[in-house]
Amino acid sequence: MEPVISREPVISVTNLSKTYQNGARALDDVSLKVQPGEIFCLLGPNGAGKTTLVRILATQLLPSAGKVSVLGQDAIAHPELIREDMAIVPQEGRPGQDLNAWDYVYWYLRARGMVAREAAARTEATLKEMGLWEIRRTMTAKLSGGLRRRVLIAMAVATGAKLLFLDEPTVGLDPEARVATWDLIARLRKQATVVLTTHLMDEVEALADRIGILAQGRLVAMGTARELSRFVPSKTKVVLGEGLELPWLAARGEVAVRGRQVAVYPFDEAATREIIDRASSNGVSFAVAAVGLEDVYLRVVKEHGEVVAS
Amino acid sequence: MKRTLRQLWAVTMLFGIEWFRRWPIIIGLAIFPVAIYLVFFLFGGESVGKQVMYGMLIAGSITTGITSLAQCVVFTKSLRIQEMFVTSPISPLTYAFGIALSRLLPGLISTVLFMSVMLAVGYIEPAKVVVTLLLVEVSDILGAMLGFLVATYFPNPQHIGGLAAMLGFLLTMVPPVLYPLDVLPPTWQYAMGILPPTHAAHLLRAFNGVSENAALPVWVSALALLFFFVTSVYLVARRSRWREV
Ligand SMILES: Nc1ncnc2c1ncn2[C@@H]1O[C@H](COP(=O)(O)OP(=O)(O)OP(=O)(O)O)[C@@H](O)[C@H]1O
Ligand SMILES: [Mg+2]
Repeated sequence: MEPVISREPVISVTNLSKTYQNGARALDDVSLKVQPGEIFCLLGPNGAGKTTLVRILATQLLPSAGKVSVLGQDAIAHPELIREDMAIVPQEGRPGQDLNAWDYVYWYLRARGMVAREAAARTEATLKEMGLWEIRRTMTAKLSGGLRRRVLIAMAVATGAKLLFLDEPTVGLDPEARVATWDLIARLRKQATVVLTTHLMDEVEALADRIGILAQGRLVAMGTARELSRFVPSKTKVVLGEGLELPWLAARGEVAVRGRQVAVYPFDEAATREIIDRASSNGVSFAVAAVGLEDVYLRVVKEHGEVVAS
Repeated sequence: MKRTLRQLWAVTMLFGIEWFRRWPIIIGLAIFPVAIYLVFFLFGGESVGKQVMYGMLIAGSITTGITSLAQCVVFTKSLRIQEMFVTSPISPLTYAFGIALSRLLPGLISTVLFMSVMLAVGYIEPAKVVVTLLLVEVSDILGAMLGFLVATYFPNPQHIGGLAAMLGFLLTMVPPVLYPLDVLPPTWQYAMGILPPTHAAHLLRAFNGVSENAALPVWVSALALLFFFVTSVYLVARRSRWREV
């Protein structure tokens, strides 16, 4: 794999919109750029348009409006020029035929035009890295869901493509396999550009160079994790058990009820102390934590939802 | 060119290996026509049996082509494996033909098994085996192309198997495939000419000297089969577009 050296963005999307034939508006005026060697994470609620965007970039789906440039080519007019350099793990893809992991990876590489020796070497290396080597001869139909998912990731990663699309790649993987997959993806960094969608905040924190948040088809936030943290007014939050009155808390910070917990983003230092004091004197459990990506995400998505509703 | 062939072979293997592993199906496909033959032989004697046996070669290849391919296309689409091929250097035509071949190769094994039976009982001359096989493969590919087209028009996994089976039935039971062409009046012989299996069966019987006093000339059938073959390949090329709208 040769390192990506060009300074041009690998992906450049301008005013992209997609309305499906049934009238569903999945993307609404999205513009973004992804730089070479970057791991770009797409976040957003179910139905936000992540898969739609990925499938347009991966030349599977035509947009309704807008410009899409991928690897320096017009991806709408000339998909054939860039498909060589791309690979994808589809969101719901699962290998389900009477084939084993070796067959899938090896023949997929051959089908992409790789010569036998290279395909065999890459298949072996990738299966080992993905923890699939021991079970390479087991029919995928007999593998667990997570293992089947790993076969698909192995197929895409083994290609050595310059641009990888991973649509919720680690769904259903056990924590150990998930971390191993992160390692694998992190190692691709610099050699390849990765566009990854996920609902897992720790996945984003482990991998992302930059993050885009989609909500209802619009790109509502984009930047590095640090840049995005500006969307939340405080650096810390207080997570409380049940027991304190919400109006009293709301006077001291932004309040978000999450199940049986209440998260408060205090307006200032004094408010933080007040909340902690009151919690401890009332016997309410509390914890002070740094604001993370999840807080940013929840706030951005909620804010956007309210804007649309009004 | 070399690369395209390599890709074609790999797609064939990727979708075909599982069939080679399912040898009971392959043997089953070979036994089925023999069973049909026995039934007709018992009720109609040798000449009817022979007619039907040749008809079964065509009917069998067309139905397996249609149903298995339609199922396979929809299957790979619903499992989303197909998307991995879209985002790759593999052209849609290579993909379509690879899948078609992946069904033909195992089908070929059953055809060869069946034809060995025909050879053993002296129903086919050794010198005519190769051309016969070729004709059978042409109808196989025709069936596969039709299956592919059906799958692109009716992409519903629940119905595709049934739809394809219905189409296969119509294409092999209605036209003179299992029965001789000359039982039909001349105008009907030409009318049945709109269905490709008519010509495949006609050619096959004429070539192997199974008597038919057909009004439809053999050269017309040869041309018609060529026409259907080219047209179906063209349609598949047009329909196998990678991109959704
Ligand atoms: N093939 C389709 N035809 C019509 N509408 C579609 C199609 N695919 C997606 N949609 C609609 O487009 C919108 C965006 O869907 P998309 O799959 O892109 O969301 P997503 O962000 O990937 O969601 P998830 O997190 O659940 O995967 C949804 O409203 C969905 O119903
Ligand atoms: Mg999705």
